[in-house]
Amino acid sequence: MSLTRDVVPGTRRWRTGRRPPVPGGRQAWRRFLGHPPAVAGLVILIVVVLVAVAADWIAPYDPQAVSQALLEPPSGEHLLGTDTVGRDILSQIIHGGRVSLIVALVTGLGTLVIGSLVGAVAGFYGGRVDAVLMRIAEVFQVIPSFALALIIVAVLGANLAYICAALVMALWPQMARLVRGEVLRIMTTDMVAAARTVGHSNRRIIMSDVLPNALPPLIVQTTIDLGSAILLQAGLAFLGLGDPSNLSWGDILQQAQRDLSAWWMSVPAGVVIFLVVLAANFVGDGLNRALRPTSSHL
Amino acid sequence: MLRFTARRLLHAVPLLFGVVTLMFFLLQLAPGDPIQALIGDYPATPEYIAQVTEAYGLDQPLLVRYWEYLQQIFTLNLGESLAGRVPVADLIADRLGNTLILTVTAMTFAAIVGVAVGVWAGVSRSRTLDHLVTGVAVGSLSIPMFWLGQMLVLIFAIKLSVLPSQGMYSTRSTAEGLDRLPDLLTHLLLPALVLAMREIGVVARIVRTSVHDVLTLPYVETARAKGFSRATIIRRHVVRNSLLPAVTVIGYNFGFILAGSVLVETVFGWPGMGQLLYESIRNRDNAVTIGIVLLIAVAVVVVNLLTDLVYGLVDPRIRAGAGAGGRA
Amino acid sequence: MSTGLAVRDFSVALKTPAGVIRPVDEVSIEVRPSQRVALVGESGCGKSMTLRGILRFIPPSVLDGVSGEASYDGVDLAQLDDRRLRDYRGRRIAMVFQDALARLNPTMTVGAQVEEVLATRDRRARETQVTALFRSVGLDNSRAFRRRYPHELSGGMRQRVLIAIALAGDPELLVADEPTTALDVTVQAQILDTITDVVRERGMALLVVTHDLGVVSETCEFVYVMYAGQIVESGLVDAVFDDPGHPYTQGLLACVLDVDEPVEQRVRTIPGVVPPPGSVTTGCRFRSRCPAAHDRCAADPPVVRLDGDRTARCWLPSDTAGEAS
Ligand SMILES: Nc1ncnc2c1ncn2[C@@H]1O[C@H](COP(=O)(O)OP(=O)(O)O)[C@@H](O)[C@H]1O
Ligand code: SF4
Ligand SMILES: [Mg+2]
Repeated sequence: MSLTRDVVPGTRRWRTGRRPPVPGGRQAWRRFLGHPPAVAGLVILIVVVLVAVAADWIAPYDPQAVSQALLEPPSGEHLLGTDTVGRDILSQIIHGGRVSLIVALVTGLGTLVIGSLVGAVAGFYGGRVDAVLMRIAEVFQVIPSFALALIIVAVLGANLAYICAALVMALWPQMARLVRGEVLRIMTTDMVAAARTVGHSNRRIIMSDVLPNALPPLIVQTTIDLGSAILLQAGLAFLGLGDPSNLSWGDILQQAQRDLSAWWMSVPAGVVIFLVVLAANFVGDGLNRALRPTSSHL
Repeated sequence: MLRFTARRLLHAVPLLFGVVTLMFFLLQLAPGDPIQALIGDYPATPEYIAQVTEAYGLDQPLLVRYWEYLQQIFTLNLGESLAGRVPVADLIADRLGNTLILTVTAMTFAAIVGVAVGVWAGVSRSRTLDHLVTGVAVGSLSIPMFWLGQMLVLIFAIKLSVLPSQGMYSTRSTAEGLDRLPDLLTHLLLPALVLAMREIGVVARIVRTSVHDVLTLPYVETARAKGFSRATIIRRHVVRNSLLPAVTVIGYNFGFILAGSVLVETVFGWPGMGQLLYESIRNRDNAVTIGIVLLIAVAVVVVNLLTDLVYGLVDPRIRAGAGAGGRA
Repeated sequence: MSTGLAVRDFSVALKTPAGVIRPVDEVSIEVRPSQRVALVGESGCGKSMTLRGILRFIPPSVLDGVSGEASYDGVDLAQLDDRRLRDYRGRRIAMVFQDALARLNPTMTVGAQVEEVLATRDRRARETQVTALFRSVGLDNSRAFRRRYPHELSGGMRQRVLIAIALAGDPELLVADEPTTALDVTVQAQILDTITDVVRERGMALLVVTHDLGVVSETCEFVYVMYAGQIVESGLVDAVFDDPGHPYTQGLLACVLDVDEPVEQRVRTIPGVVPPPGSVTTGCRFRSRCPAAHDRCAADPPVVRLDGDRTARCWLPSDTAGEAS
C-alpha cells in the first residue's frame, strides 16, 4: 500500500545547539490560535487565575465567616446562596479556586520534575537501570491514581503539602514513561550521534540535545496533568480528605452531598471544576497541535 | 498459549509484591507513632496499643516487620478494624459483592455502548459525528464523576422523582429473592451510568480511531477486491479487528472504575466497599483504608492479567508469542 | 461475446500536498479473453497506479480524478455505481497484490478467508471447493493447514493463499501486481509458475506486473513497457524482446543479460532514475537517461507503429516507419 505512505512528510528533527526547543514559536502560536477550543480554554484559565489572585478583593464575604442565613437559596444578598452554617457560597468558590490552582501548579511541576528525571535516566542509561525504574513505575501505575492519592493522604494527613505530594506520586509514572519514550526516540537521531562523536558528555547531551527536543510532548502532558490534579483533588476533598484550613471546590461539593436538594451548593462548584478541567484539556490539545503538528490529535 | 500465560503470570507476581511493599513503606512513612498511624485517631486503651504493638511486632527491626507484614498479607490477614474490632477481611468481604455488582454492570455497559458508538463514528464519514464523539469523550474525561452523580440525583430523584437516589433496595420493599431484581435495577441505573460515563468516552474514542485505521489497511482492500459490500467488509473484517485495542482499554481501565466506585458509592449510598472506605477515612480507621486500597490494587493486577490472556485469545498473533504490533 | 479489458487514453490524477500530479498519462492497454499480458517498467513508472485506477482502488482522499476509458466487455468501469462495480470485482476481475502478509486479515484463518469468497451456501460444497483451490495453488489442503493464521505461514504460502482467494470467485481476468516481490528468488519463480499454470488451465486472461522479464518471455503473449506514466512500447513479447524498438526497452533488456539468471546476478541497470510525475513537461521523458537522445527529443516523440501490433514512442523508429495515430 504505497498510497498514503509516500506522501507522509519526513519526521521533523530540530538542530543541535541553542535553537529554541519550541519550533517556530510564532508559527506554533498561530496554530494554537487557529483552534477555537484551545483559545476558549486559555481564556477560561486566565480568568480563573485572575479571580484566584484577586480573591481577597472580589469575594463579597469572608469565605469562612458563618452567619444566621443558613442554607439560603441565591438572593441579592448572597448571589449563590449560603451553606449549612451560613457561609457565602460565591465567596467560597472564589477562594476555593486558589486551592485548586495551587494544588494543580505544584502537582504539575512536581510531576514534571520527577517524571522527567526518572524517565530521562531510564531512557538514557537503558539496561538494568531502565528495567528497575520502569518496574517501580509500574507498581505505582497499577494502583489507580485516585486510590493511591487517597491512601497517601489518608495515612499522612490532609494538608496541602501532603495532598500535592500524593498527587505527584499518583501522576509521575505516566510522565516518566513519556519522557523515557521521547529520550529513546531522540537518542537514535543523527543529532545525538553527532554530539557523541564530538565527545560531548552524557550530561551535556541530555541537557542540550535530549531534553529540549522532548519538551513539546512534556508541555502537553503537563497541561493535561493540571486538569487531572484538579479532578483528583476535588475527589479527595469530596471524601473528606481536603485541607480543612483551605476550603476548595471539592469541599463545597462534600457539603452539598448532605442535602442535594440545595442545588446552589452543588451546581456552581461542579460547573467550575468541569470548566477548568475541560479548559486544561483543550489547551493541552491546542498545544499538541501547535507544538507537534505531525502527531495525532484528539 | 501456555507459554504466553506463564509469561504474563511471571510478570504479575513481582508487581503484586511491589504493591504490597509500597503499602508497607507508606505505613512506615506515617508521621509520628506507627501505632497511631495504624489505628488512626481512634481512642485506644493502653492494653490495646500493647496488643497491636505485639501483633505487628512494632518493637522489631524494619526488615523483620516487613517479613511479618508479607506473611500476614499473603494469608489474607488484613488486620482488625478499630471501630468494630472486626477483621478487616471480613468487613471487606461483606461489601465486595455489592461493589462488584456495580462495577461489573458499569464495565459491561461501558463496553457495549462505547464499542457501538465508536464503530458508528468510525465507519461514518460524517465529520460532525466525529467531532461529537470526540467532544463527549473529552467532556466525560473532564467532569468530576461524583458531581455528575449529584446532578443526576438532583434531576431524576429530587426534581423528577422517577428514580431512587440512595441505597440498593427500597426500605419499604417487602419483595424477596428474585423479585427484588427490578428494585435493584432501578437503584443500579444511575450509579452504573455515572461510573460507565468516562469509560464510554474512552472506549468510543479508541474504537473510532481503530476503525479509522483498520479501514486503511491493505487487507480491507483485499476484501474489497473480493467484491464485498462496505457493510460486509465492516462487519467481517473491520469491527472484530478494531475491537482488539478496546479489549485492552476496557480491561486496563477496570482500576479506574473500581477507584471511581468509591466516589460513586458515596454519592448514591451504595452499600459497597467504597462506602466502607469513606467511613474508614472519616473514622481514620487506617487498617480498613489500607486493606481496601490493597484489594483494589490486587484486583487491578489480576484484571490486567486476565485482559492480557483474553487479548491473547482474540489476537492469534499475540497467542503465538509473535508479539507483533497491534497493541496500543 | 466477451471482449475483455480495453483501456484507452486513460489518465489518473492524484492530489498531493504539492499539487495535482498525473502518474498515469493517457495509457492504452488491451487484454483480450484468455490473453496473457505483461506490464513492465522500473519502480515508480506508474504501473500500480494504472491498475488501481482501472479497477478503482484509489482512495477518494488521494484521487483527483481519472479520464479516458477503462472498460470491461464494453462496460465503462468508471461509470459503474458501487453495487454494479462489486459484480465485477472478484467474480469477473480478480486481483493479486504484493505484500501478502498485509493483504490477509491477521485474525482470520486462511481457509476462512478463501471460503468467504465462494458464492454457494452449501457448507459441504464450499469445503470441497476450498480444498480444491488450496490444492490447485500448491498448498497443503488439510483441514489443519486451512485453520492456520497468516502469520503462521511463510511468505510464499501467504502469496499462494492470496492467489487462491483470487481464484475463488472464478474470474475471467486475473490482475497481478508484482505478486512475487519481497519473496525469495527461488520462491518467486515457483509462484509465477503457479499463476501462469492456473491461468492457462482455466483459460483465464492475465494482466501481470513483474520485473522478471524471463517469466514475461516464457508465459506472456503481449507486453506493454511503461515509463514515467506513459506506455513507451508495446507488442507481442517475442517481437519486442527480439528487437526492442525503444531505447528504454533496450535498456531494460540489457539489464537481463541472461534471462535465466536470478535477479541478484543481473549486473547492469540503466543509469539515473525515473523522473517523478510532472517533472518533465515537454519532450521525451526518457531523454535525460537515453543514450540516443538528440535535438528532436526536446519535442514530444510520436507513437510509431513498427510492424503489426508493435508501437514505440520515440523519434528514432519514426524515421523508418509510419506514425501510429
Ligand atoms: N499516494 C500517493 N500520492 C502521490 N503520489 C503517489 C502516491 N502513490 C504513488 N505515487 C506516485 O505515483 C507514481 C507511480 O507510482 P506507482 O504506480 O506505485 O509506480 P510502480 O507501480 O510502477 O512502481 C510514483 O511517482 C509515485 O511516487
Ligand atoms: S525520443 Fe529521443 S530521448 Fe526519447 S527515447 Fe527516443 S531517442 Fe531517446
Ligand atoms: Mg508498484
